[in-house]
Amino acid sequence: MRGSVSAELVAELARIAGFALRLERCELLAPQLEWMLGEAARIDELPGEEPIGVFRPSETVQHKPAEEGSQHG
Amino acid sequence: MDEQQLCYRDIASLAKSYRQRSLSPVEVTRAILDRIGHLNSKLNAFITVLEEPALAQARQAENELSQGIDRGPLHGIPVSLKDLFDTAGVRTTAASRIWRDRIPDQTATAARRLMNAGAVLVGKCNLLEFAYGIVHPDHGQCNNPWDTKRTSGGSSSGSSSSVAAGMGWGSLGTDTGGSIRIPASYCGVVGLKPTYGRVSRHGVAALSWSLDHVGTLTRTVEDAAILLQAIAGYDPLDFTSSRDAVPQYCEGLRESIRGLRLGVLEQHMGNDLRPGVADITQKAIEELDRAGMRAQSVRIPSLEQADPALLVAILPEATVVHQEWIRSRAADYAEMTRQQLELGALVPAVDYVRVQQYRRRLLAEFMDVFRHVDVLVSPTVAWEAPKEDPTVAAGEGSAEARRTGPYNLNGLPAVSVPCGFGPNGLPLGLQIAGPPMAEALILRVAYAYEQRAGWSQQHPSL
Repeated sequence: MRGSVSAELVAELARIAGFALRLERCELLAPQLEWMLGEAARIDELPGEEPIGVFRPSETVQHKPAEEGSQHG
Repeated sequence: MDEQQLCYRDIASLAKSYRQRSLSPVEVTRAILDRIGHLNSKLNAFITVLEEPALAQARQAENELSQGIDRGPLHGIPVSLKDLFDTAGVRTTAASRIWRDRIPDQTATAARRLMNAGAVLVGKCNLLEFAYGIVHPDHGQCNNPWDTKRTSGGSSSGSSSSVAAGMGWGSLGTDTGGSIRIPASYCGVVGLKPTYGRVSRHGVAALSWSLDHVGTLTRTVEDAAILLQAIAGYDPLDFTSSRDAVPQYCEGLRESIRGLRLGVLEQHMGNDLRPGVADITQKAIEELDRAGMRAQSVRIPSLEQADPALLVAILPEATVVHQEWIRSRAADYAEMTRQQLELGALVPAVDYVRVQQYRRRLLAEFMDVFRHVDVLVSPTVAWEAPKEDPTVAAGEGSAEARRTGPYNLNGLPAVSVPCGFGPNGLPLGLQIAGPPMAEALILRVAYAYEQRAGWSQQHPSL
């Protein structure tokens, strides 16, 4: 359990994340966030390991041969 | 041949008739356009119908075939796209107000490949707004052809409804938590979600990059194999696209499944199944057993965490996709889409990373099971089509995607094939999943089941 979520807490979290939400919207979102965080807590039980989607430059970046005279060759 | 008989034929038989000149692409396209004209007001499956362009493509196909230019089984076959595939010069709305007037200047790779195979694009299909689980009021609910007072399911709602209603031979959809397989189950059609990276996502509106898959909705398994053949393969425009060679999906379809090992996912046969679903699934398993498969019960140790993991992955990824519009045009979204996008901004980063850790574990556990079985089966959804689609960020939405979502988290291929009718007389689906790039195998098992069970011969009365 992660405790209860109030509309004021939602407003503050949204502000920090760069979203300005009016209090009436935060009141709608508070019970949903509380439920969602309760669900997310179920994953805490598992031991951690390397996450999927770690950055693999050799597979991810398309290499182009350097053009003659390129300053970035 | 009446319209109903014509519109429910399979692709291979239609293609044969074209080559024997007993039917023509123009004649068939006109029949499909007429059918859309009759049925779309009832089903609301199409956002855009491309009457003149479709007839022009059909005429081109007819001319090419008469000159001996044969692009394969899809040549002259009417198909559709979920309206989040970009189509150059044709409005692509994602069933939203945000994109009400958007006309892209590119065509999605998968759509382009379908057109290059000679398919005739009859229209762009309705969906849940931006594929995010909610009907936008500007576009309205897409109805189920088996009971028009119920949803066709989503988010590839128009694709499944139109194919089930005989308004085309296939449709491309997308699947982020079950958005191809769930509506396929509700509408009694075949929904295929290939392995992550098998089909390009280029030019398709993203919902959640790490979970989005492009796939097919068709009435038969063979039709699914034909469509997959056309769209699968490496695309340099999608950096997650796989370079693995594309096999011939139709070649092994009719091979025996005798001796193959069938894993029944025990946790997905649980007590959340509504009455009738477990019995119907069990009958399907017995049918595969009679075909010579050897069934055994299997467990995935951390499967119970898949419900919250899907939610925690989708919510913030979708908010990143939409972050500029949710700031500047929030009122243009359907209210529940807006709430889900706002909620996504509040997911702690630690939870998101924990989910990425969990996904590696989940995949490893599935791969471990695939050392003992060849394919896995379960019901696709725990119930028949409901009246309305549940929202993603709620208990019912999570439960709807409980059996499909794990294959988005681990990227493995899965297909939903019709397996009978529930107590309300509505279709149910059997989900068959396999190891990475095993589309040919899961289609082979699905085909063997389909041929024995015969559900694909049943169509809704409209």
